[in-house]
Amino acid sequence: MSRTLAIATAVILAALLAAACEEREPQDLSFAMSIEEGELAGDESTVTANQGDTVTIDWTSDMPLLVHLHGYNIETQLEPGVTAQMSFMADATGRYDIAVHAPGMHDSVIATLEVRP
Amino acid sequence: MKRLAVTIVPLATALAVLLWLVPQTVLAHGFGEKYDLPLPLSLYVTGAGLAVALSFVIVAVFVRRTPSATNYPRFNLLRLWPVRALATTPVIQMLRILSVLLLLLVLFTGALGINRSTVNIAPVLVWVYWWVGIAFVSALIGNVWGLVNPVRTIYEWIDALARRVIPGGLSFGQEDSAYPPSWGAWPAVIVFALFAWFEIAYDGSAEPLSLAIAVIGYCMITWWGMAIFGADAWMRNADVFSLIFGILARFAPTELRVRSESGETDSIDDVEAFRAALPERRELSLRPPGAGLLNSAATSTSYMILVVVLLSTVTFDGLQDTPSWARLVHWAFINSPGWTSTAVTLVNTAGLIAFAGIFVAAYLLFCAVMARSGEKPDTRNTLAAARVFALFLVPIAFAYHLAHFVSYLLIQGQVVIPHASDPFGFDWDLFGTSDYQVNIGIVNAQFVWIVAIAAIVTGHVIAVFLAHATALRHFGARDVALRSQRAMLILMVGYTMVSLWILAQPITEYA
Repeated sequence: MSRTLAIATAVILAALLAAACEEREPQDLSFAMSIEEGELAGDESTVTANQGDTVTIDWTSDMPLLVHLHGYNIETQLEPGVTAQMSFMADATGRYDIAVHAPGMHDSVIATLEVRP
Repeated sequence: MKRLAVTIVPLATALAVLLWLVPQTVLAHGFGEKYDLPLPLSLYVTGAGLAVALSFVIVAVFVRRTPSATNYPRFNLLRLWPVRALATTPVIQMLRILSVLLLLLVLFTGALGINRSTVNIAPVLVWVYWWVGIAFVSALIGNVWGLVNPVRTIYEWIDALARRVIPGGLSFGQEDSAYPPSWGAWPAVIVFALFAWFEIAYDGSAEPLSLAIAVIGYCMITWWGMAIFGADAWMRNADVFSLIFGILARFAPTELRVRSESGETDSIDDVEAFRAALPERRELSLRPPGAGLLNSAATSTSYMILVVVLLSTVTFDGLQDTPSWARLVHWAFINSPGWTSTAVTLVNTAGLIAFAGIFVAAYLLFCAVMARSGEKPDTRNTLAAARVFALFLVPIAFAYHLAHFVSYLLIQGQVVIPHASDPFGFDWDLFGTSDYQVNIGIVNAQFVWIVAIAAIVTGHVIAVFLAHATALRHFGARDVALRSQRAMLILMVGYTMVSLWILAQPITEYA
């Protein structure tokens, strides 16, 4: 039984390693996200990138807000009528919340960043 | 009368603490976010397929021959001088002092520090290092908690001091009452239910002050129990964390064994006996993971309930982060203007209770089917079967727990670096590390996935193997045992699938 187990484990590990070795060229990705009354306008609330990509998000909002990308811990202050840029290298894999903070409002998560390996 | 005072004071304090906690409604950020990516479909299918396939391999092995259950390879680590040097009383005493200092640090920073989970060291010490960390250490290394439990150490120190003033110390010279057999592990079940509610449903669980109060409440109950029934009896029968970490440690690759004068084995995995034994009677051995359960006797009904409720809590903890549950919580949130945080707590409390109920019911149902294979009155008894097999679901739950928390431990564990310089949140910088930024890139998603699949498949295999080995002993005849295990196998495959399913869900921390 232990031999079967060892073989099975080896097969999975080999498959996973093969998947891991698939190299992609890093890309520059741009996203535009607009916030209306503290809520995200548009349907796409997930920003997806691959590890190593450079991600740029152009934010616009109709009210002053602080946008906070959790994990990467990047904060960007938004003012009405001004496009604010959030730019970073997606070097850590994972799923990170993007929340807005505004005085007199509940903190709320409006989008998610997914960085895939 | 003195005895009565000993009884009533801590119990009243503990009750007051609990009542004080309940009406508090603070919307706290749950401590420590998880950043895991959902398990990709290909791995989800691979894990599920392997679990099923290997189950059949194990069944096939049992059909052909009966693996020896009583003898497993062991290696006494105390034969190695570095281990012997580390396992001496002074080293253990130092570890005990360290763990007492950490407990005091949690209490002082929690009670006197800034009451925010992001700047105070108490939440990371309790939730990441103690609750997740000690669980990992217990199952992967051995019963460390039983040897360094600070709540017990403080009791023993105070008792020793008290003996100089009051004859008989904290028990006022009265004989320890015998621990009532009818209590079983019920005190642990009750305290665990309160703990699970505090951890999972109460929204102030990451708040340093609430934590300090909860820890004091738990200490009071524990000191009361030890004063009345004696430290050993309380730890062995009724103390919730000794029991839980002890359950996990029974799967660990090390065992604590005590031999009698003639060399016979007196006890295995009995940390109280190990603490009390003379050094030359002790044995600290390596063993195959899970082997400690091959000879285990049936447990009590209360212990079985503790195990099943523990499993349900672990699973609900994960389910709570899935989009499906988040939608339910969100619904409660928007439909409760003015009392949103109470509504969210109520939904989570209901979920916790419902899950415990579903798990107990499902487990007993499968045990009823299993017991129908029995050919003697005692093996046809559902409850008897339930008491025998409950522990074997633990590896599946622990594997899931490991998969769910490995990146959390490695990422949120780093929070202790800045907090060590500023434990109270008073803007200190004791060691120059208060500006440390957590490195979220320390674990790659691929590493987490491999660990997750490897853990879940291994946990499943250990569970199926142990259940089959025990079925041979419980039911006697091999064909009866194999027939009985069809039900258990379906339950275990189902439980493993639920774990994999939760891991394949995108984590949603907020409503």
